[in-house]
Amino acid sequence: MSEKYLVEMEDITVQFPGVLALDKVRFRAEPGKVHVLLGENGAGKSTIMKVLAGVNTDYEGRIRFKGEEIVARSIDEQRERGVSIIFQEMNLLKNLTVAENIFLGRQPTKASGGIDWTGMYRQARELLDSIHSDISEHALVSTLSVGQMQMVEIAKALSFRCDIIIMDEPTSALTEKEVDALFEIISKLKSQGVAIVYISHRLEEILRIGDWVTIFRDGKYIDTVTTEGLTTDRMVAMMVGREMTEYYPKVDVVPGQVMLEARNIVKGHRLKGVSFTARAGEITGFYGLMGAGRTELMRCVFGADPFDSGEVLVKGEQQQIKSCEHAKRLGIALLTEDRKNQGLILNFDVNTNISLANLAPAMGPLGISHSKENENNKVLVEAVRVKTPSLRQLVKNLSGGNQQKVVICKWLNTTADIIIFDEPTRGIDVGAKVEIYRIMNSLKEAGKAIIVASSELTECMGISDRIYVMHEGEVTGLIEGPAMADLTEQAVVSYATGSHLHEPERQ
Amino acid sequence: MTENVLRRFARIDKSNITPAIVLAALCLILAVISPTFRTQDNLVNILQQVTINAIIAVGMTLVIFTGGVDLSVGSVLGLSGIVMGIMIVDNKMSPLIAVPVAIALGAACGFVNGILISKLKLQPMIATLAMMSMARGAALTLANGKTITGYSKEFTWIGQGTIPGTGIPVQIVLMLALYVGFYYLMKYRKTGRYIYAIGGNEEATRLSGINVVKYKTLTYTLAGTLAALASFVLVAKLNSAQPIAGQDYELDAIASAVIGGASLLGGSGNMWGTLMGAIIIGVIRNGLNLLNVSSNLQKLILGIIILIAILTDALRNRKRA
Ligand SMILES: Nc1ncnc2c1ncn2[C@@H]1O[C@H](COP(=O)(O)OP(=O)(O)OP(=O)(O)O)[C@@H](O)[C@H]1O
Ligand SMILES: [Mg+2]
Repeated sequence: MSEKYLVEMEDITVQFPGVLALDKVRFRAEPGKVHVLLGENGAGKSTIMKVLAGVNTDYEGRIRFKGEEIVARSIDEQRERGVSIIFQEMNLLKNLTVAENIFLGRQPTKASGGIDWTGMYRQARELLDSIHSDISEHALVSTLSVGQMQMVEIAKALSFRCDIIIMDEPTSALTEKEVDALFEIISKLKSQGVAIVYISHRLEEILRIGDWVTIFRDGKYIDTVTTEGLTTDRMVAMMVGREMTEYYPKVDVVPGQVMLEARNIVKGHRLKGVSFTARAGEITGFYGLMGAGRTELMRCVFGADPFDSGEVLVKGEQQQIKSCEHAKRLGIALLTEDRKNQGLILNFDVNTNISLANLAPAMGPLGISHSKENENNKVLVEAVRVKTPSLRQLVKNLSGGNQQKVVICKWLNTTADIIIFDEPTRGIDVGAKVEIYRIMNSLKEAGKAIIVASSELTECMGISDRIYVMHEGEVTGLIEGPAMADLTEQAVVSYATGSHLHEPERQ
Repeated sequence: MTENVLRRFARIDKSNITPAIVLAALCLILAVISPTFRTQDNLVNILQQVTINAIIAVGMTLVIFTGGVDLSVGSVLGLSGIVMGIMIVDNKMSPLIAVPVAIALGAACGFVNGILISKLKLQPMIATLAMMSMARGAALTLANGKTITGYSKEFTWIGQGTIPGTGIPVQIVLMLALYVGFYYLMKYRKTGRYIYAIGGNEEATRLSGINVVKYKTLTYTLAGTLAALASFVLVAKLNSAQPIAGQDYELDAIASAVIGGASLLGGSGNMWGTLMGAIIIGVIRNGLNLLNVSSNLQKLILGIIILIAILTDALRNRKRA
């Protein structure tokens, strides 16, 4: 019996101050199979995998590995045993190159004992090629986008010889193309008999790649089922404990005036003259493959980065946006894609993070009133369903998806009427996603202009009223009006890959 | 309402428990081994000796909250003292003009630091090291080797006088007022929030639409201003302005903040902690004096204490990460 499983975890319990993260759960993995872990944000998925990887060493319960009872005491020891992990919150060192990060602490050495730099860069290149990534092995990590960092993490995890590889939301910022490349690798690993643990909130992926699905809810084990004959609806029902009917709620609003317009934005060779408009009462989507320039564009418009030439018009008036502070005063908000480095102060509590962009609701006659702040933020936290023991919990102690929700709360707490969301639902569970789409819809009804850049095609198509598709720093397609009704995924992808040479239509 | 106030106090105490315990323990030990220590005169004396460092430490703490450091405060103190002396004693100007001018000079030095660091992105250590040398050089040049003495009773009141009818030294009241004011600023004003936030994650703060350049510059400007204010008290106390005044004061100020629980990485700590840190240093100095420890050895001992505080901070941060 135990021969069948590579890993068997029984009665695993993990307790954090004020939070029972895992309550006697179990998990098993067979070699050559993809085991999906499914559950809402804060269900305990990352926690159990961190136990297996030797990161959370404070646990109760039994682990059998290759039929032997073991105690997971440290990362190094578990890696030695053959456990490799891609962390949900990326752990790369920003000031080192891609190759240095991949081989951190175990650089290949020459016979003389010195580091074999050429060998290291060559091996890094080979790894990146194997996942069809064109990221330069010499690039500094600080210059990479979140999606690119995820690709580097994948390459790094693959560079260890391992029997089981844990992927904690490896694709949350990846687009179709990179996801396909990853799945190819996963198939190859499967055929070599490697066990794979796959955590994702993108349900279609799970059906495509998974063999078994284990569901957790609130730190408890619910069930393990095969993916054969499994449907998205069924998964959702097991995960949230109730049926969900609508994934992309829609409301119809007659669009108002143009709130934000960019004309011919040029920034080096990253943005080659991009123009777009966003109207009040409308959700304008941006789709594009990795490196298409969505994030760069949004950062330029928000004053986070300077650009070479081009114009930005806010509510019809031309503006020289000099800084984020200036942009905020003009009523623009930008939710950045990189929550860990650009969105949150991890060592601060939920309250402080939510209030950061706007303290006005917390102000009393004598300055900041902590009770007013609590009251105001409580409403937001409940609306977005942040799972946290209290508003005083440090953000670093929240699960990845809940951290993302805090960033969303931060921007919902402002009075901006042009709200740019860059990858807003990265790592957020299906139930909470719908809540967030509902909030976006109500913002839309309130006459705000919403811009959403997403790497998830179904999301982009599901929530947007019009979609700009970008490819290598240019807008290659604009889909709006009646064309939205019979839009196909292929059509969008063809714009995004540049295979469809089509002039953007202007209204 | 009262419950709320009580809860707030409970929170202050909790975050400051370690420096408070250290201070209490130190006082207890010294009270047992030295009868002089426990006299009321000596205790007031300690507080009086602490004021200069404590005032400088207010500004230093603000800078440390943002994740920076200011090495120039001691020199800025020296410079503004000399300028004050030259104006009042050599040029017979009214202190009502001279003092504000000297304090404005301190603010200007801090402002320059702030611009160099926030706008031109110099390392705080390097920028303020340069300012430290420039301000000291200017002070020595202006003083031309002499000490400037001879001030009016009205002027020295701030450093030597007492609040009429109470016998409480003015300098202690000033020090406490500054701490209350800046505690309020840090806890209840936007400015305070933003200063902490910059230390917590500067990029996230900037991207939240907060003018990081402005607030960072403000902290260094305040550090310079407070150093100059401290020089006012010091000149008044000693009835003399000396070009070498304030040497090594930056170290005491940094130590006060760190002993009080502020992290050198920024983003954590609070004002009460720094006040306790400053008093702890004062008590140690006083105790060593009472025990007849030579000033050279005192320096060594204080160095070790600073090292311990910084090591504790580093270990705390490693645990945080
Ligand atoms: N270091 C910690 N301190 C306190 N609580 C923690 C800590 N790490 C995790 N938790 C809590 O444990 C619970 C499970 O977290 P975990 O990260 O495993 O969730 P998850 O299933 O991975 O969620 P997500 O889908 O959002 O990534 C959460 O409620 C979280 O707040
Ligand atoms: Mg997780």
